[in-house]
Amino acid sequence: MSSHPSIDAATLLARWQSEGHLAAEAAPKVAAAIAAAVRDAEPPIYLKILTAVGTAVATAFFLGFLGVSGLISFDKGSSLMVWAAIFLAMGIGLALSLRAAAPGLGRDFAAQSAFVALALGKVLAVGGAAQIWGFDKTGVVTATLLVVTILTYPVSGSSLDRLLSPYAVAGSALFDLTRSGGDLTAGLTLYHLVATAVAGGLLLSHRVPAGLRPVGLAALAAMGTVVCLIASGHDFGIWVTRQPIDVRPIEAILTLSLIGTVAWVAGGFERLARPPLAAATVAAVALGFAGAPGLIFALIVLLVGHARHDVPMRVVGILALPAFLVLWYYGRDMSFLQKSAALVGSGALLLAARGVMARQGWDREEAP
Amino acid sequence: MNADVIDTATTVLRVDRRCLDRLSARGEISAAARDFALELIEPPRRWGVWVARATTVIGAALVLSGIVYFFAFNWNQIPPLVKLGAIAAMIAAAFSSVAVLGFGRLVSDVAGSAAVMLVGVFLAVDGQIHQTGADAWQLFVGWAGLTFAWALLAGSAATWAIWLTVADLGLILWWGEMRPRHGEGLGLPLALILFDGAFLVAREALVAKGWTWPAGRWTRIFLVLPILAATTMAAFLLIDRRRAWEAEEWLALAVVPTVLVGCFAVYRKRLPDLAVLSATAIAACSVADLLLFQLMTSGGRSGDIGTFFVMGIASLSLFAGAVAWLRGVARTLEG
Repeated sequence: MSSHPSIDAATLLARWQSEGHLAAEAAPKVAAAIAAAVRDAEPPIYLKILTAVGTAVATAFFLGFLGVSGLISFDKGSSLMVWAAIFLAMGIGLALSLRAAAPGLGRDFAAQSAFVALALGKVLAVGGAAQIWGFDKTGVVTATLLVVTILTYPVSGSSLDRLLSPYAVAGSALFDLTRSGGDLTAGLTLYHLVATAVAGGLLLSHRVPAGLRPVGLAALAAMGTVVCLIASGHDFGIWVTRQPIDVRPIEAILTLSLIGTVAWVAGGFERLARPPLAAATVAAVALGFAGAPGLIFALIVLLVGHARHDVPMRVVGILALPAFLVLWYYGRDMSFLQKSAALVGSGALLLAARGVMARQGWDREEAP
Repeated sequence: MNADVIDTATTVLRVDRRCLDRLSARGEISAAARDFALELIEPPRRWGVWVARATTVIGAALVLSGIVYFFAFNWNQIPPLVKLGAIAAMIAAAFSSVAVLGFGRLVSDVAGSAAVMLVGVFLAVDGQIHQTGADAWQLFVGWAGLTFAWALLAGSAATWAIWLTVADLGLILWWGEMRPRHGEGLGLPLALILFDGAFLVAREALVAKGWTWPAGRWTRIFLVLPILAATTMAAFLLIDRRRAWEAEEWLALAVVPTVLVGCFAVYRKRLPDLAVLSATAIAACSVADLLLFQLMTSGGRSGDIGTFFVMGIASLSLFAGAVAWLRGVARTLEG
């Protein structure tokens, strides 16, 4: 049922053997590993959405139950922390028990219950920490989220939970950063640099275990959050902190990231010397100079999503591209006539590039 | 395990990029073997085709936007006849492009969609120049009416998607402004279900007859999601009904289960589609959840401890059951 590009395993094993990539005696072991990898395949996105909706609804009802029953005093930090510990322990216990459970309704019920218990535990832990140390104290929420994420990540069976928890940590850290009162340009640049390094390291390397990829996706989402903030106007700093920020370092990091992504797709930096890839590199640098962080980010997501055959990521990239295009043109300090010329000029340039591709035969699957 | 056994066991398995990455991360295959397999799965030259398509679509969109900005800049200085004439010329150019290039090509799809959009621009500009005083729904209904024949002729899924969006907006605005039934809210979701539902049925019938242009899976999702959203809305309104039931309510009572059961039946048996089944399951579970909550809090009872606890367990069970069922369906389809 896979809609991604794929090959049947028997043909692949035969080709590996004929090309010398696989010894005949190793074939049975690799065949078994393929069967295991196919069995372990991640649940599709629609199942994740169904699970997430169910978790959100059930969590809301259980929170209502705890509130109405009077079991928890929501304005007492210690009470919240005790209940958070109980729910987290329940969630971890259920998640661990899933490893030995046979597939079926019972396992799915336990998995959903574990997700709900972990969600309740995290919400109560954040509420409890904020009650004890104060909501306004920088780092309290972030540190609490980090601790519960580290505690629950290894046992959580839900890739959605594994994505949302690190992203909550990253989002909270960004919020802390914007109200810390320090040098926001340096802080935001460092934040973006760390997010880029984590995303690149975990998403682009094929040596990374599948269990760590959600952290990479969370880092990519953190990059996207920064990009959304700076793409919404160069006066973002004034909007959030009353102090202007210099976004050029982040734009430079994004441009280098796009070039790195093109090189990764091509199979190495040395291949950037080939004509089509050299043209792509020049285009990336031009986008960097144009001050279009949103467009660059959308292209990175689109390229990585297309290369990894990751449909949700590709859809995000496709939707982000026109959104950031509109934002970029909207945010320019230009007259309608200048905008018109810029739009027609950039469109004509792309169509001309398309013409060159057709002329060189780069737009066909068969070499001319 | 001998070669025959390996063949039998692995012929049915499909290896995709994700599977290769897992094998590589576990050290089961070498980096060279992984790269070789990736080139088999997706030859590098296929990237050129993808990039060429993207540059065509984005380039055309930018040029069209630039033209719109040019008109915006000179709007007050342009005589009315020139304004309308220029838009009409662009519509003619779009039509001519399709006529010259023929249907079924990417460029024709882009030009065909642009023609539908430009008719709307023409009507809006005409309304502004002549101050017709027409309501917004008249613009959208007129737009949909004038472009219907073109959408039929174009045979392009993208053109149809734009046309249907315009027609849906026309229906929503007409209902909002004309209020054919007095302020009870059920009529609009029912109208949308029936209108979009007719197109979904037509889409499936055409694809079953071998038509290729509406066969993209996104066209099904594009139609199913608004239908399910309208169905859920109708069900929520019906469950929350306080007044005596009239024909509208009875119709909704027939339509809501028909849509949900119909989607489950068709996309489970005849045209298996797990994404549509999952969307239908979300709608059905949400409706069941609200119905149960309404039953537990009816008769003037407010939500007490028991209600919230039972609702929590019920929500868990409903959604976990739906997930387990979908997993079972997926296994059956793969088997």
